[in-house]
Amino acid sequence: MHSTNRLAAPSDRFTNRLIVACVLVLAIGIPLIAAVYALDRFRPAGPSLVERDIAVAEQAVRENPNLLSARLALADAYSKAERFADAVAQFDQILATEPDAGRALLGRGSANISLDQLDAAKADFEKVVALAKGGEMAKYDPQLESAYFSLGVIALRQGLPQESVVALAEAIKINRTDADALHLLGTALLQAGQPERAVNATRQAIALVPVDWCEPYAQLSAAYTALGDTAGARYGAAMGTFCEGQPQAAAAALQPLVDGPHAVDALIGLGLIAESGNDAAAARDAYSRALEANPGNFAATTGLARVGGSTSSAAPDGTPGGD
Amino acid sequence: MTAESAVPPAGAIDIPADPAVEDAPDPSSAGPTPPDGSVAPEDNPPAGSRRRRLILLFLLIATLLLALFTIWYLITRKPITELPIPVVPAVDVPAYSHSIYDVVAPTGVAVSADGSRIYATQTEAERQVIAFDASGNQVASLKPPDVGGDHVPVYVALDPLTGEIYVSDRPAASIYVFSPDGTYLRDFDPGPELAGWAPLGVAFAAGGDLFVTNVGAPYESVLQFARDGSLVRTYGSEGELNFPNGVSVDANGAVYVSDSNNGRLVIFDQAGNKLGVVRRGVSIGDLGLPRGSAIDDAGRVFVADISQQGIQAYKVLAIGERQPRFIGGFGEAGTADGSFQRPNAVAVDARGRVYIADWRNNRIQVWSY
Repeated sequence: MHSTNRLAAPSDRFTNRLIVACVLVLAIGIPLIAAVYALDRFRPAGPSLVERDIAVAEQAVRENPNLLSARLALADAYSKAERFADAVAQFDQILATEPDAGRALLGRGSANISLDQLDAAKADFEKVVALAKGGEMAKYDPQLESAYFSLGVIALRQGLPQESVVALAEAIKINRTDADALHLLGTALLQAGQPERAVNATRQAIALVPVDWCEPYAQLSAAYTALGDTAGARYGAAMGTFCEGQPQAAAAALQPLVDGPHAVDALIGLGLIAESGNDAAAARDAYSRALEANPGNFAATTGLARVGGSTSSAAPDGTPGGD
Repeated sequence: MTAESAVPPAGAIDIPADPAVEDAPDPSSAGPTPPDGSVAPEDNPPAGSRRRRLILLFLLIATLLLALFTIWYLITRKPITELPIPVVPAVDVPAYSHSIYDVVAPTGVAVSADGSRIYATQTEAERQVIAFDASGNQVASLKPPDVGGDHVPVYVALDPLTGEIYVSDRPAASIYVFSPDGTYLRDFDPGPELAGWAPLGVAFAAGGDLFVTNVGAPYESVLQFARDGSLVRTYGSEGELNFPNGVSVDANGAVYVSDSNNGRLVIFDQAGNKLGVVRRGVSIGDLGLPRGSAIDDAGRVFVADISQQGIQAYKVLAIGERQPRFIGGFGEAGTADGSFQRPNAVAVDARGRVYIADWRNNRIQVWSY
């Protein structure tokens, strides 16, 4: 009776054929439609802007190998693409011809920092300082500022905070609104055991960039802690919490501080938190209270300007507003 | 067959299935078979047959789904994420796809519904509108007749009914109209009352009305023109808008205007009443310096924010709503793929792609759902 097991009923044969047909349709159809979909949806991105810049710059150098501006453009393009060794090679070529080329020195120094060649980088930046610090435009020279800033970075990485403080202070003399330099100065001062000055520098950095930058708040909290200022440390920690995306926890931590020595800071923080929640009225109230306590406060003034006239713009009933 | 051979040997006799054990698995057997070898009755299918039918049912469903998806895709050419499933993601932004180069300082961009033609205004080098195919190959350049004086093509829009291309030129106080093949046709005439106008943003409603942001006389506003060129309505009272830039119109007729120097997106209803505002601020979803905007067929409003170096996306206002729901932002400052340097305008096709005029990176970025 084994033959009866091998035989299938007509309906089963039909079922089997349908199964085979369906499997074939799916086996061919799925890859086919997937291929059509992929070809249609996903276009090759092609070379990026940086890669295009490199190609153009390389062609320019091939056409005129002695043109320093072309080599500089190529070195910059390599740096942007994070091909630092290639960039250094191009900067070397330029500096072999023009040893005092400031842009090339800065570029090679920055590339060497990225390659962790700190001593070589330091030599380049020190040369820029030596060339530029006696110049007519030294007080406004962005290359000089960049060199001082980089020397500050290198000194910090080498564990020389006091040396870093000196360099960064020079950078800030040239550009007082360099928030990165101010923040880094705070870091160096804290490491150098000068928390009070660290607080001042960090607060200046925060005044320039009050939101979406968490590190200065953490640093401020650490500096206040080093000073023994508990309320200040709480303020810094609370703002760090806000920066990390927990506005409610931050507001709860700031609320007890509005009657203390850091009331203005806390009120400005509450204003920023209210703004982040689209609560213009609460933000305006917080900024107004901060201005009452400290008339002319920059952060409160600018915050109030952001939300000041806007609460009347959208009439609750949707009628045309008056702003 | 002899009589003896017709008698089956003991143990080989087919025994009718016991109903109590009918469902017991027996993969080797097709079920009880009569002595003559005929097939078991249909109304009592064995387990193997039932399993085959289940497999067939599953395969038929899969084939049907594949066929439905294929038909849906070939008709709409939309991404899978646009399938009509009732799940609305909290963050609903596209991903970077590719860029179109070979344009200098583009401030405006428009695209045909099928994505086959992309138009970009070139504001430096030779000032013109460049038309690209979907692969980024330049296929035409659109220039008005040289009439002297300063002229800069800023924004561009496509007439949905005729395919004509409208290009605003604020310094020349003109809107140039080109045929779909790129031939200059005429200047749009706003009428004598708007002799001192300065057109900036241009957009069309689905019905074909033209919307223009005017930063000149008589005052800064949004103007709506009918098909015959007559002025239908002015949006925004005197002093209300400050350098209005991009404008777009949703399916309900609500008008979204980037009130650029006030840092807002202002929404008007069809009667000119203000419905809602997205404000300037520091919180998520706030605007900085909004420029061009576009609304796709999924009801998403994209606003190019030149100070935040990215695109902010919102849902269009539903009836009764006053605040567009923020659904995500994308882009950051830089030159890498997906980064922007002063994104100034946005356009959308009907296939889930978003085109952004990346002004200072000299390219049109294409993002895709």
